[in-house]
Amino acid sequence: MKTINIILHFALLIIALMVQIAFFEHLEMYFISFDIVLIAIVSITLLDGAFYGIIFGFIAGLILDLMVGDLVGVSALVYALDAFIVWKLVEAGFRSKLTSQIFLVFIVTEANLIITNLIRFLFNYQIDLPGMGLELLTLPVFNILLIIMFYPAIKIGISRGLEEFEFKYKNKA
Amino acid sequence: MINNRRFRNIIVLVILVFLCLVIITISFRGSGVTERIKASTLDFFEPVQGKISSFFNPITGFFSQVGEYIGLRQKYLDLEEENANLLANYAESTSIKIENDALRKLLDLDIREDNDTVAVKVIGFYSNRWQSEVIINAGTSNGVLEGMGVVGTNGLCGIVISAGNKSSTIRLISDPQSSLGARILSSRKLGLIEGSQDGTIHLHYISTDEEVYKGDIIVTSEYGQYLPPDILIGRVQEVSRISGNPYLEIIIEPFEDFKDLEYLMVIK
Repeated sequence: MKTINIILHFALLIIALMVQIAFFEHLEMYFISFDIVLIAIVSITLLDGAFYGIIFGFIAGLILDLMVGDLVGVSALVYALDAFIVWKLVEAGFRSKLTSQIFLVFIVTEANLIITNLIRFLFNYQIDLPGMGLELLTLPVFNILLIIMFYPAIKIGISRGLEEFEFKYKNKA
Repeated sequence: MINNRRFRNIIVLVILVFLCLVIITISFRGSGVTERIKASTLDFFEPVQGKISSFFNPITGFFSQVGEYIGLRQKYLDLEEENANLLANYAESTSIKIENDALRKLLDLDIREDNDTVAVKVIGFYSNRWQSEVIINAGTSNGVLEGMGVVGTNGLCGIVISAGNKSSTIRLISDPQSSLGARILSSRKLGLIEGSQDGTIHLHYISTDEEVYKGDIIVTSEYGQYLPPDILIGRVQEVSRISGNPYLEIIIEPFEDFKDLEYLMVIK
């Protein structure tokens, strides 16, 4: 069951990636900036754990970079780190509640932006600090809206995972 | 058990971070291998990408229409003014064309041939402060090659930067890395069109001694490898002089609306 879930989550991540390129990136031209891939990675980390979050984040980022990135590897690095940050926050107790997930998305969106700008800066790209400041304020808002939309599905997934864990624990006992 | 998992996660992360840094460095140094892998990846996902793009077309169309309605009144006034100017120039242009044809016959010059084009559909977008790119559903199998120009219904959109077998990536002229030769149509002065991180397009290297007016038309120059000359790019939106700078600061308003790209033409 667990393996099927993981395969299903990976397939959903790839679909999210395609939707991001086909639709959400188009909205960027109207200054509406959703990152559905980031939300998918946060969800996978919450449901399947850090290991799959990091691996899937790396794969999704690499595919995104290979399809449309000018500097291949940046999104792969950022999404893998995002998954790790999410897991660290989950270990600190942020997981099931909506406010916890909003906080998770806020933190990873900000981290995402800072890490991307830092890598670009290290590779001699020009950094527009006022533009980055504005993005730090606006980007989390859109991603928070997305996580609110997906919250019911993630909550069901988390509670099912907990039920399976309890079932195994009882059988062992 | 939990400590083992934590340790495994950290090891995996360290390996992947190291791998990413190697990939970024290889990509930054401009390896041909990454370009080939990029083209193959585009081809691999093209069928799914095309289907998803078609599915979302009505929604993106809706957003485009909402955007158009917002600026409709101002656009109408601008078009009325432009139409009045065009009508005034029409008679003069017709007589110049007749004179031009007669002179061409006298000099035995061929009129410039029209270029072959390939009609393509936009199936993906990617836009951030460092990039403005679109993915199209045609590649080398359709005769699309790297460096070819891409036009929309109103003017130049960008250049093919990566061509796979069945799909390609176009770098829009608003991309900060975009740079191509251009001329001011009226004065024939040469400059360089470059995008920027805020999405505006600038014409560089026009001396402050030159007279450039708001509304001057900008076209492609004849120095592009694949890009033919005299393709419409945009019009001058703003001209300013900065003390100490020997060149004018010129902002260009492109003729093509990049928010509304659906079907394009690649110039062979």
